[in-house]
Amino acid sequence: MLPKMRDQKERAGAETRQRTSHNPISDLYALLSDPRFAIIVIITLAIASILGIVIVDQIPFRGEMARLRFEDRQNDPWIWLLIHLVPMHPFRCFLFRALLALLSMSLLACVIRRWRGSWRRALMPPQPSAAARPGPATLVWTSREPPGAQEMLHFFRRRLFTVRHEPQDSGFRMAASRFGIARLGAVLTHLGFLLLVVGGLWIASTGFSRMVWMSPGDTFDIPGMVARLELLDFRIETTPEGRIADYISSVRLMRDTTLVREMDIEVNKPLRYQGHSIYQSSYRRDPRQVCSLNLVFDAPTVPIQSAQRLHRNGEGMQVKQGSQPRHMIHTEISGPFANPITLRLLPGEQTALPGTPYAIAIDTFLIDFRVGPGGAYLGSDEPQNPAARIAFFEGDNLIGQTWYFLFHPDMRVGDGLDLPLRFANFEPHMQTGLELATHPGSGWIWAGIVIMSLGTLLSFMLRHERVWLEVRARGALEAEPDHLPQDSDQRRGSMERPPGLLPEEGWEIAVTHIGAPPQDPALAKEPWGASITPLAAQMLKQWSPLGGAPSRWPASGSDAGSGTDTAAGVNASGRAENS
Amino acid sequence: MNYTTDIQIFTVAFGVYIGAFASFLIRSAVRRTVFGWIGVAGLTTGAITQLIAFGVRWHLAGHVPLSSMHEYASVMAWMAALLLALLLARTRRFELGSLITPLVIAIMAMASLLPKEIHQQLIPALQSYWLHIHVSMAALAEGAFAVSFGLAIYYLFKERDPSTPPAELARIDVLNHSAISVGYPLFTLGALFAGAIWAYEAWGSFWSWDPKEVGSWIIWLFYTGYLHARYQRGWKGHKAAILSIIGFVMVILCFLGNLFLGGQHAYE
Repeated sequence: MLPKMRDQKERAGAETRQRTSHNPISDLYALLSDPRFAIIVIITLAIASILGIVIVDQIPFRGEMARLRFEDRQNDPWIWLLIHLVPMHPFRCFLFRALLALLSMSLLACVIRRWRGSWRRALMPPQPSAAARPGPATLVWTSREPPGAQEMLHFFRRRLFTVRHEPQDSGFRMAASRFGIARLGAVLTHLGFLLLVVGGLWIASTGFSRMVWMSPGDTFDIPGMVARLELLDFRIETTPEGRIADYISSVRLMRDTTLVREMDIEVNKPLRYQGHSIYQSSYRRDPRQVCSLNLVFDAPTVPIQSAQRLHRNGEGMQVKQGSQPRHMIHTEISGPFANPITLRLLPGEQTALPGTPYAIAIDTFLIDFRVGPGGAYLGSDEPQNPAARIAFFEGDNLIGQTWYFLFHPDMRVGDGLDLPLRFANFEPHMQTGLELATHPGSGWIWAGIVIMSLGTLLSFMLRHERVWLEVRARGALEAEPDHLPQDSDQRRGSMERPPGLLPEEGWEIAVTHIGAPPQDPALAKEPWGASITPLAAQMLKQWSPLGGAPSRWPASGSDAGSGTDTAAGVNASGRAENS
Repeated sequence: MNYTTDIQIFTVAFGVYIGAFASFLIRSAVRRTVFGWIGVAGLTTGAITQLIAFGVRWHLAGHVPLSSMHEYASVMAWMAALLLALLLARTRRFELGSLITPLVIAIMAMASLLPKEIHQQLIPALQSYWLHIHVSMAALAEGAFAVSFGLAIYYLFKERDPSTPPAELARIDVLNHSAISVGYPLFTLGALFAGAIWAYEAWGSFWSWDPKEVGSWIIWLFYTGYLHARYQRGWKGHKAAILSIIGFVMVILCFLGNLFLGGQHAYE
């Protein structure tokens, strides 16, 4: 920015500040619409995000893990601060959302501030009269063959320019513009991002997400609507190599007794109904059920008529309840089985023990057996200690029950029969993990994505290019000093004969092309070619200059660019305008 | 054709890039333009070879090979090589070749060190046409950021040379900005928007603050800040070069973040 222009802007800014200093709303608007403020918010968000992902997500500050990690450093003030001040969910905490809200307000203010100017510049073609006020981006040359007005109109229109033509006594002026819509790119980008942030905050505040674990036959009442989800089937498809190809939940959505929809939910293929979405999210082994369970029984070679009950006064067994060791009574089976027979137990069915008058059935299954004051309980959903309680029957009479453990096959706990049985393996009962979610602000998100994509493409794929052209009989320009910028005595003097012009008669052509970058110096065949735009180069090629080279409009360096929408109001490359 | 065919072609492309680099070095030593053009031809040949490797891998896998870190890095290197070849052919600044080609080679080396097994069966989450859009655009964008990184280093080198005319520095700065202008929209539309839409389809949430998502968010915020600083505060030249370098370092950290941060994007 040139010093004079900067002074003017600073004066205008100071006046504006004086006028508005007593109005807090104006002050707030000025602050929010200041790009520097937006940059500060963006930097703060970036830092908060880095801290969130690196520190909070990677170091446990809450719960059992944190307690164990910092057990011996509880008195350290830093640890205390970390544990008590660092949020559990950094991206869902109030401070992070407040930053996003601040950014959205800043975006809104920026959009409001830029909207009017952008529309005006995007939609209104430039005025040909502005060609009479050239600036430092103006190229001037004299050509013996004058370009006709119709020829020039054709030249521009062929290149998708919108042209305004103004005949003059000794020539003509033209103003051409193309891709003015690119100016809306920045505004649309900001508006789209604003919608994204608002939509995101809306979803985060009012959205709902819940994981539901279901087994075939299970039903689930969908909260917030009178509808019920029934799981008909769940299957996992695998490749011959054992890799999972897909997992599919066949579901039925019922409204009272009316079937609403029946479909297969897969990953990338959710069920959507009235603002609710149901996703195939995960699957797991059912921690309390099995499809089947295999026990190995050492069958007697000679049938037995009766067996002893197990006693409770066996040796001690260490089991864990949380982190506390507990003591439990157990007995052990020792030695290899002489006549092992694998028995496959199905839920709800009794299986006869060969060579005995007894039968067994699955009573309880826990995929992670633990024991506490209240007895056995499920420790987790992971198969850390699978155990099955087997019920022993004689006829229809329940005799007793004994726990068998997959990872401790010689161990048994309970009051069942003293028979040689070992827990061999189990076929898990798979459950599907369906995620039920609502996204109340998703419309905003979609609108934001569309608008911001459009804005981004307009901003980066198109350039708003404008061309001012003036063609006059040689000497006409010198005869009309009124066309010069009023504040430029120096320029007025230097215009008498722009350097590079030859004194022959001819037609003077002045071209100002802004919005496009100059040619690359490496591609320019002439030394002056590096600083002109490709379009200007085409014009120079078509209407070749006398003397072989055009000249720049003499720029004094102190008064180029008025900030207005004229040829004089741009810098040499014109690039900054599109930003 | 067996499972190593694509890797063999990939290795040939790697070798061609190294040859192109050697050509650029010779050009710098002997000041003969022809070696610059040989380097450009090498980059182009390498990119075409890599494209063939990509096609072979696609054929062998039965799906678009964009599901592993090796494949991602490979596409990133391909984009950087292609963009560099275009840049050199257009500007004829062959000295850029000796500076940025090592970057392409480094990304290729990184790709070759990562697990290269082909899994014919994609995991269910990746079985979507969004894989084509999201991953390819993100990798291409990061390739453009890699070129911007190289140009920024080149700028800083030239800046230290007092004989460099200011117009030349300004031109390099514009080229650097142009590379970011290619990468930024690709990244916005591909990495963020396509990713968010895909996540909405597959995971039930546009955005779940997964480590990779946060990394992309930070990268996007950073380059957004760069653009605002450039347009609004006039940060060009030296400052812009420094920002470009930081931006690409963040890209690499985000790329490798899977290995130690985990998350939903850590497929391998």
